[in-house]
Amino acid sequence: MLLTSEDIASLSVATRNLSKGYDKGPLAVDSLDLSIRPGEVFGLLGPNGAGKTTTIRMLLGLLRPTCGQVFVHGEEITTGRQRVKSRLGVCPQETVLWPELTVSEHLYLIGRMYDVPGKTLRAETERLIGEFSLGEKRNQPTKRLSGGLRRRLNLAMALVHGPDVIMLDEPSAGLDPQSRALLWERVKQLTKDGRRTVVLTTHSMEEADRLSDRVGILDHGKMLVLDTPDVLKRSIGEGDVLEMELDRAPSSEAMEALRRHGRVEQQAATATTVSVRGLDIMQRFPGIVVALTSSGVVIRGTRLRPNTLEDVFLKMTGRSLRD
Amino acid sequence: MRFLPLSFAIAKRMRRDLFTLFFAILFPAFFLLIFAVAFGKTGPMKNQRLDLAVVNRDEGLRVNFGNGQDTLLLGVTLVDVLESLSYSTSSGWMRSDSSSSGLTGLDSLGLGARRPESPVFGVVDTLREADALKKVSSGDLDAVFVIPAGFTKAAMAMAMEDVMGRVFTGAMDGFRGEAREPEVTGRSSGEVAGPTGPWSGSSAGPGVLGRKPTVSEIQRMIDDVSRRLERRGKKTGLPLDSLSLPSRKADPVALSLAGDPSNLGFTMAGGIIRNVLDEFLKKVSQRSLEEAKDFLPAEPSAATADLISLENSSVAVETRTVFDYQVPGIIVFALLMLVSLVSVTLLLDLTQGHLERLKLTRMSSLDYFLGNTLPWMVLSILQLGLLFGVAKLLGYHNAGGMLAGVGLVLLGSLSSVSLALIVAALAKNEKQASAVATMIAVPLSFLSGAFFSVRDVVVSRDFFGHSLGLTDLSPWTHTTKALVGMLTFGKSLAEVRWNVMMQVGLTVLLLLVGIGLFSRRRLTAQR
Repeated sequence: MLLTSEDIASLSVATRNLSKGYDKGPLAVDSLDLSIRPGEVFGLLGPNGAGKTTTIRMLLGLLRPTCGQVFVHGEEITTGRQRVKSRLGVCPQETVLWPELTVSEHLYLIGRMYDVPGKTLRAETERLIGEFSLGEKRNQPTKRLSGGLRRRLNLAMALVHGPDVIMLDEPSAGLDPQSRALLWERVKQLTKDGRRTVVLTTHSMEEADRLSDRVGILDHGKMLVLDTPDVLKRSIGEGDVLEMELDRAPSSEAMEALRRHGRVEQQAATATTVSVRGLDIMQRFPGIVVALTSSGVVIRGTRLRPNTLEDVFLKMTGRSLRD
Repeated sequence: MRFLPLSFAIAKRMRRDLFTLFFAILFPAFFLLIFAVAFGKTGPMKNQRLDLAVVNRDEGLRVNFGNGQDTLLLGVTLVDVLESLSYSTSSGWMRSDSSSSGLTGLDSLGLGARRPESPVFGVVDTLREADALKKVSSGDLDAVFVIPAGFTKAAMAMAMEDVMGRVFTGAMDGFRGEAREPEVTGRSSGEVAGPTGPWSGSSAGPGVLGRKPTVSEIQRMIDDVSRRLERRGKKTGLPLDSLSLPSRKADPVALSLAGDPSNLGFTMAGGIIRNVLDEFLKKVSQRSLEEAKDFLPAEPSAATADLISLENSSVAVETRTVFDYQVPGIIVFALLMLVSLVSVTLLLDLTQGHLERLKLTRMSSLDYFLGNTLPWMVLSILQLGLLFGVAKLLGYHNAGGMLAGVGLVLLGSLSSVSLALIVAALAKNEKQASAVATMIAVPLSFLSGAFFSVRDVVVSRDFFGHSLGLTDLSPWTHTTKALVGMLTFGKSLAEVRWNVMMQVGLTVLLLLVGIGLFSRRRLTAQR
């Protein structure tokens, strides 16, 4: 669907036919059309080398597209980059900090680089230091901070100038559960007022599921699916999943008997874990047990769960390992 | 004004990174110490012989000071003085003991010389200036010194200014003595009978004319006084009849010293000859007074026995060592060290993601450049202060103050940051940057004449009226020359303006290339 100028102006982030190719090989990003709305948390998922980082770098204006356009609040990033920059906040995947500078000096420096007036900057610095529980370490050089504190500061730096669009590139990588919970809480609050937009890339399906309003799965530079997590989960099949741990790989006859109860997934023919996905799977459970035990297989454990985003991800991108 | 917070942040980082600060500030000071030990007062290099060709066109002057006629050849005498200058063990250089050389004109001045053991100059007499200049170009000679025709005449004319004043005073004293005679024999008191002519009046003295008398007027006055005294049967006791004064009138003459400005030997020769010449002319004047002392009133000052001796002279250049010429060079070396430090810092910004983090902000290329340049410029000033202080402690003889070098050092640091930008734009990582910067900065230090003078390849013999060598294409060459001129020789900014102009021009050029290249390769969106 071709976006009109009005559509683009109403969107936080939009891309039109965005592509990036390098000297040799296929396109890293291939004709990507994104429409991210204000107040939305947009999850961008994909296996390693899918084109997520390339996409993010083009959205930030760090990488020049081979073709296509990027718009932030209706402004094309190549022509109005200086104006667009103030509206963008970025939390890079790697914590980029100056080891000799303190926590407050980092926030001050980045704020000044975005032309935040002194008084506002001081107030915002105080607020963020409090919000991310950095108060005790405010005068510590960052080389003395723990990994978790460094990541919290990294996120605070993305917010110090009050951006409309916040790009979080794997923000929870390396965080302990407490810090991750704090981070998720902050991300949810960011979009509460419906004004700000968050673009999130992550390898944590749980994180994407919990935080994202919509999720796009990218692979080989192409957007494979894009919808809400619930729709995506439903798209791979109604019902629940019964996972069973067996004492040995089931025979072909046992597998055939299982397929009468639902869709069977087995990572390899010799794998001892088998999943059966289907509607009313619990009512079918006795029949499944009979099918397996009659072939001499012992069931060591079972787990019943609903479809997850990971199921969607694996279904869309396959199970083969990436570079 | 985004560059200011960036500058402050970089300055804080530098202050907290003591290892880098140590290398940036203290390493050149250690380097200075090494040079002071090697080339300072006790160093062997201070006795470096300067090869000088002399073209002596002076034809001399026939003169009679009352003890017979003689031909005075001050040009020859000056050459002899230069030949006899030697390095002493306690100070930079000094005149060796003099003795008769048998040269015409020297005896009358009491000058003479023997070959010194450790000469300052290796003097080659020649009349072929063009050949000598070729040897300067090829580096076989440090300088060509031309003594023009009329040098003795001009020097003596200068000396006669003093002599005539004194002779006039003496003559007037004689006149007053003659005038007082009638008073003893009954003339009325207060009546002063004087000689007729321009000096008649109620009082006597040099001020009676309201101007300095001419030589002929003095001569006439002396003759007049002598005649009067003789008429009265008195003797002056002075051989006035034999007095024949040289003319005060002479055409101005200019001595010239030609050489390669990038050659430290030429710079040294210039400083030494300038001071020798001043001293020489002073001594000629004193000697002239000495010769005419029988005609003069009480001596205002004691004449020296050795006319050209400079042993006790307080002329600054006398105590110079090679180290004195190297101190500005080491300051330039410290500036060139910035190339490596700055380029590595910029590459660290790149490889550690700091530059990309800053690129996400509203920072412009100019902000980044200024933000990074200012702290290094401040550092270079601190470095200058430290190096200057350490150099003074180690015996640096400077004629100019440290403040004279501030502007030059700021310009030099700007050149270094510009070159660092180019290195950082082309290198892939900090290791490459360090290696490339060192490979560029160290040869540049030598080529800029920071440590020793270098033989240059002439690119143009007339570039806006100046000879342009290959090394002149480096701004640091001009920083070195201007710093040597201002700090060591105490030259004014006007005197080194050519070097400053070249430094500014080349720095601007380097800056434009540096900013352009760095912006294009590092600060714009990647392709």
